[in-house]
Amino acid sequence: MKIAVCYKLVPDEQDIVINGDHTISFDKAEWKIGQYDLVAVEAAMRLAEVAGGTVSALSAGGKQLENSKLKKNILSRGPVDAYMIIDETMSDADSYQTAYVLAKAIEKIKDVDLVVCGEGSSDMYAQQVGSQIGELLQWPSVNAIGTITLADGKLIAERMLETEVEVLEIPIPAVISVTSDIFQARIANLKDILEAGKKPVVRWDLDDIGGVPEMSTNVLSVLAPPQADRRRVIIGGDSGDQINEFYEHLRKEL
Amino acid sequence: MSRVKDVWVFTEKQESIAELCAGARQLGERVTVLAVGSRDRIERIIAFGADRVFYLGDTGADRTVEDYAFTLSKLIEEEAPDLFLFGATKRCRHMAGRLAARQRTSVLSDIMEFLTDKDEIQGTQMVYGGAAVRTLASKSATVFSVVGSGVFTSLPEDADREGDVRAVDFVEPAYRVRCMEKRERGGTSVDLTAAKRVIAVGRGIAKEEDLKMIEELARLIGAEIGCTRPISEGVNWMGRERYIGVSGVMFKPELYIAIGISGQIQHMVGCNQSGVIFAINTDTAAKIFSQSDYGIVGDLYTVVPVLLEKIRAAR
Amino acid sequence: MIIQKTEEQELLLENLQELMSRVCTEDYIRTCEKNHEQPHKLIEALVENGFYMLGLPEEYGGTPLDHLTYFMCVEEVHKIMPPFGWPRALSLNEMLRLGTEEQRKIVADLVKQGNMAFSFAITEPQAGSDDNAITTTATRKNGKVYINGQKTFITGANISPYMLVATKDPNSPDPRKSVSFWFVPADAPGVTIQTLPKIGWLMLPTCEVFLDNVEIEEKDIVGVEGEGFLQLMKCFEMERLTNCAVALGSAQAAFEDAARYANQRVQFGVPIGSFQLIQEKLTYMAIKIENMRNAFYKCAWEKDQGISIQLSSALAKLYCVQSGFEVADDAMQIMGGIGYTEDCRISRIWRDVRVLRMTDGTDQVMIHIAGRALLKKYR
Repeated sequence: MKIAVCYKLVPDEQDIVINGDHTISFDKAEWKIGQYDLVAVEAAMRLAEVAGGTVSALSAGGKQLENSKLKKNILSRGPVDAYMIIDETMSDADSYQTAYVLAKAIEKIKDVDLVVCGEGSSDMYAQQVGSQIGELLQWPSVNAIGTITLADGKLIAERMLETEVEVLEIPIPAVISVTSDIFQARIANLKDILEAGKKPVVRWDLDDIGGVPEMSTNVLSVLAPPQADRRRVIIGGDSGDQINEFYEHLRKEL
Repeated sequence: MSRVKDVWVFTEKQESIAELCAGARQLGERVTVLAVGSRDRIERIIAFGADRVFYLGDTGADRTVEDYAFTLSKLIEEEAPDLFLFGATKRCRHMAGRLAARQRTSVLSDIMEFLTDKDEIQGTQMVYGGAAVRTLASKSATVFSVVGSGVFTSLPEDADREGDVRAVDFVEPAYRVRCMEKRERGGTSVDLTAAKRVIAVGRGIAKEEDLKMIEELARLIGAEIGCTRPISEGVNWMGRERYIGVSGVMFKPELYIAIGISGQIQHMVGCNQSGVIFAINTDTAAKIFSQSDYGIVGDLYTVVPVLLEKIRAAR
Repeated sequence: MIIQKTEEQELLLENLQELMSRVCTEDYIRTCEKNHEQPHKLIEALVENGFYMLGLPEEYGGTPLDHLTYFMCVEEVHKIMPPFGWPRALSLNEMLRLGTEEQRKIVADLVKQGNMAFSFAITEPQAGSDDNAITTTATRKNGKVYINGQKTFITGANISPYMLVATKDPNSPDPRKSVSFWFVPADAPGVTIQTLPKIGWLMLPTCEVFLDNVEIEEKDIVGVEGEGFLQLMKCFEMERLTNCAVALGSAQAAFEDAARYANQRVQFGVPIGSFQLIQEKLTYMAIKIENMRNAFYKCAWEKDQGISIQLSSALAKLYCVQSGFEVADDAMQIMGGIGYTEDCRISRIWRDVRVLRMTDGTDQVMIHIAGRALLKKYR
């Protein structure tokens, strides 16, 4: 089985700086692999280890993808190789553009049986790309997958909905998005890290996959959220009297 | 003047239909609900505020909700609604993504507020783990949107309302996933978004046993219990449905008591719309205090037992 | 020498950090300490994720790596954890080098599963820094070897299946060639182990060991008879660097806690960090940490370059463990009374770092080694 697992590089939200005019800046941000995508890689690896097969990492984005430490990072989690579509357009791509480019890349990679996506990207968290890739490839797709096994060439998966669990039989090729807790992302060890540097990375630009459609959305603003106005009555200690004061405030709300 | 005429609604839960119908009425001129399931529901859907119901049919052993994607897709092509609203569930999210992809567009996800008075449909959403609010305008003919939970408030049910009902022919899907079995999700199926009072705990709680004390407090004041991500996904002391934050529950209870929670933005976005926020934390500098109405700098193991005593005594 | 971590080193340390943060919550550390038990969950995670066997040869299931990276990992672990018996690659490597095929197999199999395979039983009540003064003997009778004596401050003797026991031949003409090491099962008849309660290092027991006519075989000798200390000299140099790594990791943690606290703690209406007396402390703490890191990384780098670290390791150990304690002590001073409570990890760091000034050669022994070596250079 040939599995492609999609990942996105995102700025570390801890490094976001809020400017005086409420705009936000990523100038000081370190880039990292989306946390949910690392979980998807783990799910893909576990399936490949059990069902046999290989895992390729796949991403579309801007120049951050060139960062060699981030390349080693993703490859140290197990995939045998990585495919990257690098173009500055892709650093602000919306989910349809991303899904479009990834779907084209999956066709170009050839013979992919399964595409695994994370629950959502760590930055936008729209949770759409997996569902959209499926439709673009005209493959069945499902989200919220919490367990997967392979039986008789079909995936048997549990889908974790809000109040129920569905046990699904998914014919392949297919696209699945996995839950954030299907597995814990693996810890890479020294061997994994050293080997990662030797694994092949295929780099494509947009022309190689036939371009990208126009954005379907316009981003009008990205601003720090307004802080709700709170009373901020803070009692500075936990002596009996102070707890009583706190309780009196609470009592009025009960 | 809004250009929005036709607003469609697709969602699973009854209460969410009422909310989305109310929202659709605000945003557009004609509200159409795409209904899958038992036919008996249709009258209530109209009572909730729908002008039209497209009845797709029921699910069964050989037909899942997902199988209606092709039917919905055909309807969209024929009718070209201006705005298509989806509930904030996993199933609806997936359906929205698929249908939008078929119309070569993106979905406006988890929209907290819509602006339709321009000549385009705009929406705001939380991004970067709650660190920013993004305003987007869709350029597509039909705008697809997953509506954040609790954004719209249901209108009173009006049994006298009348509406059109149209049964829609099923379009056989070109590809499908078979559902072999369905079962209730194990564990508690708490719906925090429905709770008026919530006590949330974070890493300040040292041991799982100590949750007993919190449960007791919750019982006394009639609150539900929620938690931060590390409690549900790090140490697994609580189920994921109790996790409050950017990728978990986002809600606005009347009373929110944060115990041993530092107040990281990823958590606070889930609860900062609460009516009144109380916080207990040992750390003077904890971010939670600047986002609370009342805070006490103290050890929860000192404060909570005293609160329990006082609340019991007051009864 | 380039003082910039490679991408591989950064990735390795980030992964180790992630592993540590998953397992070692402050509560977990407190529980292990309170129960005086090994952090089994952490050890298991280190084994499972390929960190436990770092620095050991591949044929034993390990992952060889350079000393510098190895010690960076040790430092990383001890930013969070008090000493718990890891790492042991250095002494294990010597054991694997000197031991017989059978001994190697036993040791490797045990270590692979996260066990402390053996303890080092050298120190005796009358032979601490003066380790040549040991009086434990190995006597031959009827084709067997009998060990008699008393050992003390033996780290992990009660949790290790074997002991590496140093004995001395009182009749040897050359005292430098009178010490031998024996591979003794800890449960052999005649072995009695008692733990010594102590104020720190609560996850790693320290024991007294009584050896009363413990019968072993000729084949249980490790390496060459009479060459015990010469064989293990290199190992002692490396243990000094382990001490540096523990001191540095701990000092870094104490410093960070204290600096954050100085920003938060308000007294006289202002954060205490605004007082210059606190700033002075933080400044000197930062200088010490920087110097510790430089001295210790350089030493590890020298080892990788094949440069002798006989002198530099003694200098680095002395400086790191003293400065590490000073940093922890100042961190506690900044924290005030809270720093002395068990809720605050600085109190733990403070007591745990203190003993580094005694382990693997006291400060005074380091001065003794360094002093002579320095004078020799200018003779």
